Amino acid sequence: MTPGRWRRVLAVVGAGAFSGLVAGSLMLLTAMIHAEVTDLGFWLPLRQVAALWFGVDALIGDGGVILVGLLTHLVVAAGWGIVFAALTRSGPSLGVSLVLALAFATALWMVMTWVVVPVVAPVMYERIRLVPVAWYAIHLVFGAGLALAPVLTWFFEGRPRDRTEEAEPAGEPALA
Amino acid sequence: MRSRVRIPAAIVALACLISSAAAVADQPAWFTQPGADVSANPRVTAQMLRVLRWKAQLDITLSQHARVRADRPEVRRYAQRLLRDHQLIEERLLGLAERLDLELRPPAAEEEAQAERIRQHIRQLRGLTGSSFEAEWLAMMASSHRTAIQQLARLRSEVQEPEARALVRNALSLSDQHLALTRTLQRQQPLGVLGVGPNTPLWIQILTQAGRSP
Repeated sequence: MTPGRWRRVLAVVGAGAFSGLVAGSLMLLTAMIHAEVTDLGFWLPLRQVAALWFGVDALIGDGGVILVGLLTHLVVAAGWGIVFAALTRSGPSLGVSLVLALAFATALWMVMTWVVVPVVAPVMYERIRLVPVAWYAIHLVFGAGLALAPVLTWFFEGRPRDRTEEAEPAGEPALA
Repeated sequence: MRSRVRIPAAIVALACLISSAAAVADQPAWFTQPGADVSANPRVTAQMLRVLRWKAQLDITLSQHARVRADRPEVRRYAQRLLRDHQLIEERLLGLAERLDLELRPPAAEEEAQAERIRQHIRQLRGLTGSSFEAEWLAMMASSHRTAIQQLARLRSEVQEPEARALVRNALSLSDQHLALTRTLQRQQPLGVLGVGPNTPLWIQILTQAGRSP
């Protein structure tokens, strides 16, 4: 692999992980505020994530359990960020990137709701069934955060975004 | 470049819109299996919701005591969890009863019997402190959840209305979780992870079993 290729891979991984962490933090904050406002408990989202490891006991666990939930959530968010950055590495514009990120988050929501969560996180599943709209909304927040990934990829690559592909074909006169 | 992005972007945007419309509908029935019989029996549905509401009210009242009187922080957290889960279930069932135009107030004699039962539980807890309070309260919760699970499981097979079925299924699963937590606290064992403890998630149990087999 050439040094240029390595640099590109690292830029995609770095940008994806960073945007995933930002998006995951926004998602988590939204979920925790919602949980507090609806009187479900501020820490419930993190306890539910920690239930992946501790089972239902996570619901009565102490600060350590909450920390495990936080780390798990952020690692998973960073992972999905890397996947999204790899899918959009061709560098769409910010508007297209936002649409793609929201669609990606929606697809993720579907997979999580009907495949992953019922199987691996039944403790979380029984509670998201009671707040389905909020569950979807926090995924959209995650998607909005992920839209940063292409911009960050250009930044980590250390070059301005290459717009030549979108410009007029070479040789044709400019409209002006 | 633009044409490379436009088609998949349009497809996924469409998927996004369709699912958004589903989300805005705010129906817990999303989670129900399709094909449920909608020819509901309102009497059975109302009876099921009354049982659910009575159990929620009993647990809410008793959890309010435990939230402030229990010694161990995990017991207080459990009481708080019970309170919040039951409040959410009660909110959902009241909304459902309103939509289906069902009367949830039980007959006067039954209502008085329920109130007397709550007073009896509170009398049992009076004067108890520390570990003796916790032991008595946890025993009440274990008994209350076991009874609720039996009653709801029986009623679930009779209820036809899809949203009510979804709600009772949800309430049953939450009751199972509450009962599991009660048992953990009654054993006074620390929380376990990676194959330790009876409440360990199934996927970890499978992984640890696979790791042990030759």
